[in-house]
Amino acid sequence: MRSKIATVAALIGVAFLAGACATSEQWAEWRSHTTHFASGDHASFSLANNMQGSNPKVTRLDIDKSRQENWWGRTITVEPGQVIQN
Amino acid sequence: MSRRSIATAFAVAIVASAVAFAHAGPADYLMPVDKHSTAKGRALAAKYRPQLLELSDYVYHCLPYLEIRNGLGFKRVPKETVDNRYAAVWVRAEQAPDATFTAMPLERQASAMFSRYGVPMLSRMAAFQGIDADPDVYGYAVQVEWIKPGSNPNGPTMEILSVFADKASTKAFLNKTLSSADYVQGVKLNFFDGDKEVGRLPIEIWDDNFTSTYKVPGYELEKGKVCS
Repeated sequence: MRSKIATVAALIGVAFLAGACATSEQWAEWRSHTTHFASGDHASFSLANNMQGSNPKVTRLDIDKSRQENWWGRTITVEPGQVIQN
Repeated sequence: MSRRSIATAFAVAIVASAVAFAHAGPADYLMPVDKHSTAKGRALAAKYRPQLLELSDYVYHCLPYLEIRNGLGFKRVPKETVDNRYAAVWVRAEQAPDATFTAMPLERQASAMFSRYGVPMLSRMAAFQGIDADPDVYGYAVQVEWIKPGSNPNGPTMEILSVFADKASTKAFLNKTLSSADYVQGVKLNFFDGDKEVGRLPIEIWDDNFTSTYKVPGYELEKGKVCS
């Protein structure tokens, strides 16, 4: 019985991971179509947000998931202490 | 190790990560009180926790293209020995590559980023209840960070504009009794290009209502949240 419970729990875990991946893909799609730049010209924003004719919805949690996966990888930057002191 | 114990360990790890994930939120973007290096900083962080939390909540839910970095709190100018505390927010702006932005001179890019994202942060912090009359708060600090145009997408170079400003001139600037040019002249300003400190840039500040008007297509605001 304990073995079955553990197996079911593992399967739920796999399903959770698969779901997270799918959401990340959707976020990637959404983000790749998000063009905004700091010119102050709103008319220049191009935000075609279509995925195979559908309109994907993105929640704040999707964004968190994406960031947790370290979207940009390693960045070249200064140590925070060079910019501001705690 | 048996298959059963491997499956159990795996399940526990997954559930633990899911639980950890579920608890991430605006409060996690505040710098813990005890991370402030002086008693004054710690006292301010504790005193203004509700206001900091409110700002974090606003950025988290209403400006999803910004990410607070290095903890909201009450911080100091680097290398300064005097303990002048600034209400401080550091935001990373996520934006896709854009030819028009890339073509702008560096100081223009920095001006645009600060006008768009920095000024609204100043405005929010200046509106913290009680902060204006608090003698322990010297001013406001805003760091705006973005990907350097044209840098390697797999290991991008970050550009950071850092501004420290006193309360009185910030109030005058926000109330439009001080010109943006005079305001800029009086602030401590520093620019960082990747791992290099560049120094002061001749930035300009102009009106930009992006953060109050732009709605991200497809973005679903959490139930019960209101952005204003």
